[in-house]
Amino acid sequence: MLLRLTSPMAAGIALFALLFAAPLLGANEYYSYILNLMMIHVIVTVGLNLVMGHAGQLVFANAAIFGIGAYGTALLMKHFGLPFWLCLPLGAMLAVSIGLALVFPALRLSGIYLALATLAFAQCALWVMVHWTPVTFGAGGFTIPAVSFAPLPISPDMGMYYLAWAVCALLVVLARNIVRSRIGRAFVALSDNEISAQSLGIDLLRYKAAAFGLSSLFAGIAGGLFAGTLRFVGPESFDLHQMILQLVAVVLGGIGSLAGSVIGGVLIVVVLEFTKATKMSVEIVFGGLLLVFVLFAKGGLVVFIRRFLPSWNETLHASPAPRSKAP
Amino acid sequence: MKTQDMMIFGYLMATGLTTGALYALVAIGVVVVFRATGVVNFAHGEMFMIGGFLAWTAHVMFGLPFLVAFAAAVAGTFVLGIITYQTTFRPLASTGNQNAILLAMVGLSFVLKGIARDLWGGRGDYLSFPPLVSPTPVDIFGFMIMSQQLIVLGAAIAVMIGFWLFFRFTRAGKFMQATADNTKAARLVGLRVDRVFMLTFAVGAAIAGAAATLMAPLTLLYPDVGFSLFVKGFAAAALGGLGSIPGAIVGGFLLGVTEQLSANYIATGLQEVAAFILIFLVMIFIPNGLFGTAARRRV
Amino acid sequence: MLQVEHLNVFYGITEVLRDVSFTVPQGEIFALLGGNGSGKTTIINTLCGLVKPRKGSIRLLGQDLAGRPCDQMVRAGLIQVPQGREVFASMTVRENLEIGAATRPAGEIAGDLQEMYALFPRLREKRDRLAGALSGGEQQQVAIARALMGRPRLLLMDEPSVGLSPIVVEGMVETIRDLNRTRGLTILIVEQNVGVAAAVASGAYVLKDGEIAYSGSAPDLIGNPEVLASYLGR
Repeated sequence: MLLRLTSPMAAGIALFALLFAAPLLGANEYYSYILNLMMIHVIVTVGLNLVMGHAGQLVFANAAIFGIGAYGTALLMKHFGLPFWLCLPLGAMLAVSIGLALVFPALRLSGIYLALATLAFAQCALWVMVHWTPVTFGAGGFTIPAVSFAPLPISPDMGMYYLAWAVCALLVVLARNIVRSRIGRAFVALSDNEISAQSLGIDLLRYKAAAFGLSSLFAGIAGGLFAGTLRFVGPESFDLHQMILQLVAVVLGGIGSLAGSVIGGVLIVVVLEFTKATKMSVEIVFGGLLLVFVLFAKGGLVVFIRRFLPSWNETLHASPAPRSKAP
Repeated sequence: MKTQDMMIFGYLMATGLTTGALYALVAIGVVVVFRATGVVNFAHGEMFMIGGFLAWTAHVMFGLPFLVAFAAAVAGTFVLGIITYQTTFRPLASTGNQNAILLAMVGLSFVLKGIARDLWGGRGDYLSFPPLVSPTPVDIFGFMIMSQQLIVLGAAIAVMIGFWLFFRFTRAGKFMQATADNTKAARLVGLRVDRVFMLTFAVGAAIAGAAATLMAPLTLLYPDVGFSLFVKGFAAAALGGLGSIPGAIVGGFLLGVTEQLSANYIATGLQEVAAFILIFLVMIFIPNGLFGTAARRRV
Repeated sequence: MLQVEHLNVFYGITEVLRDVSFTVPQGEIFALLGGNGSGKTTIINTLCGLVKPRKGSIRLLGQDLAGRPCDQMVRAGLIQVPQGREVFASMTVRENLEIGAATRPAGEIAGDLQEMYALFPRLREKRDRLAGALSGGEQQQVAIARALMGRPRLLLMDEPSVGLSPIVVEGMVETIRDLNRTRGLTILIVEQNVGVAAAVASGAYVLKDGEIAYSGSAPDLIGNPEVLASYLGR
């Protein structure tokens, strides 16, 4: 099949090619850092959209899971002197195991109940980060050394950049395959109606676990990369501000759209930097974006893109169009 | 030694009951809106926070009497409740998408918090409120209790009674109750349920404004206080089953006392997370709350 | 009294009422008959404003009300006694009746309340009980009295006999006749129960697939085997 130039796939390939080339084309340290943050947020957003958009589960703990990935990775380096390449997967595994534990409340709760229960959990996790001082170094956070990529002839910053690039590209492709697989269709059935999903033979426990596990995996890996990039980990990176950042990323791009997640993850970093540079209130800007998009542009930016580019052929899984019912 | 233990215990109970009464007021607002609309107002804490700042502006900045400040906070939050309804619930209710309503409320809560931060000082700035009466303790049954706490506790209970009277005896209160009970039937008797929902949001917010004004002399005001109080109010409401006003009141008192006792006898830091742990445990193990469906007459 | 003309109602893209026209004369009881899904309840819901018609007019005493919201329909005098009774379960009988008069000034309703208690003595006995704790028949009385408190010009009753025992249904039939005879109340009743319809109605319309298939006097229609067959969906 011919690759249309304006399909999400072609746009994605172009974006990643550009991201690969940016440092080589002379993007300075600051821009590389910003691009790096974008890729990290793309990973988080893609994961969060799997659980929130495709599976329809309103989870407010994702910022904390992101933090657990960051803390897990950085604390293993700090306390045991383990190398980053080992700590990153271990931190992600910690995040996944905690994300999976949240499946049990999620089996009984949905909607507002699930949102608030997971929010309460997130706040407890944040409290542990602040108060378990002997392990987490408390409210002030802690630094970790630069990650060396020797013997590769590449600086720590560039090493992190290309690591994030590779991981981000890999996870986006993984997410694309998941969405198109049986699991992805089961997620959508879950979000439509849990009871009818069950009657279609979809195992709630298995697919909720898959949705929570995947989003936690994405958040955990992103957290580890975040720690490696900033070389600093502190609780305030994972509080309510991080939560609304992630929610805005999902809603801005488009709930239930993979391309939207990529767009959202990139855009929130731009908006955040712009907001800080112009000294506007982050709370008003991001709260306002969330409100406005939920009220007036429910499908997010991908809906606009689709309107102007007919060849944008992604199926949106949270689209309001009625689906045909099973006989 | 024994008497000193008793003194501390008495003090903790008095503090717990006073803060508990305020949590109960916040919880009542959560429950009233939830019963009518099936939605938890995520921006409810911001109603509380802005109510507190409005009272501060009237009382401290403009030197108006406390009762006037109280009225200003209640009126201001009443309007804020209407704004919340108009910007979140009304435009999204017809879609039947609760997740969207909740997300809109999350957005609104951050906007309100940001506005408050701009208006009343940046992060880390705490505004203080003068005490209502001289801080001499009074002796009740051998317990030394701050007279200010007694006043606040009494006033909080008075607000609850006033609210109960409103629900029980005014037409508007009964219309709200009927709409919460059976929305379709409320439409069929000719009630404009959209107006009733708006009033429900407004009244819920106004109670939070009242609670904030009462709490202000006991604590400090800062933009993040809203989220913290929302969590406590929600925990109290969840403990009572989310749909029950008596449950919310009992939940509020229980939470207030638990916080004080756990902070003093287990670990200080627990006061901050007690509510979160409570929410998490209640939601998982007793989602219907302590009273659940047993509370038939719901007001 | 009520003139409905060329009423079209859609749910999404499905046409549920097609060009429905009928009249209900003042002081009469008319019945709407039809099988499940024939559109009877939709007519009632359109008349009281729960459903908006796409086309057509609903004239009550000459005033066109089509498309108005519920509260305006109630004020105009089109009030429904819903299927399944839908009482305010957590409120007392007395409160249920008071809320029935929600569209009228609070000072005017005391007399009506006494009138309802005279009409339904059971409700006077149980006025301080929660409506949710009453029996089905008593709840039906609450639902009727609540609707009457709004001073209807035309009372709409949606399947009032559903879920009630035969004895209770008999009492209700008496009540409906009585309301019509002594108060001159005009009533439009939707019924599955042929017996109830035959007992109270003077005229009837039979709906099939969203259209009026037959119309005439109630005894004639109900005695006609062809009509009955279509009504029962056979």
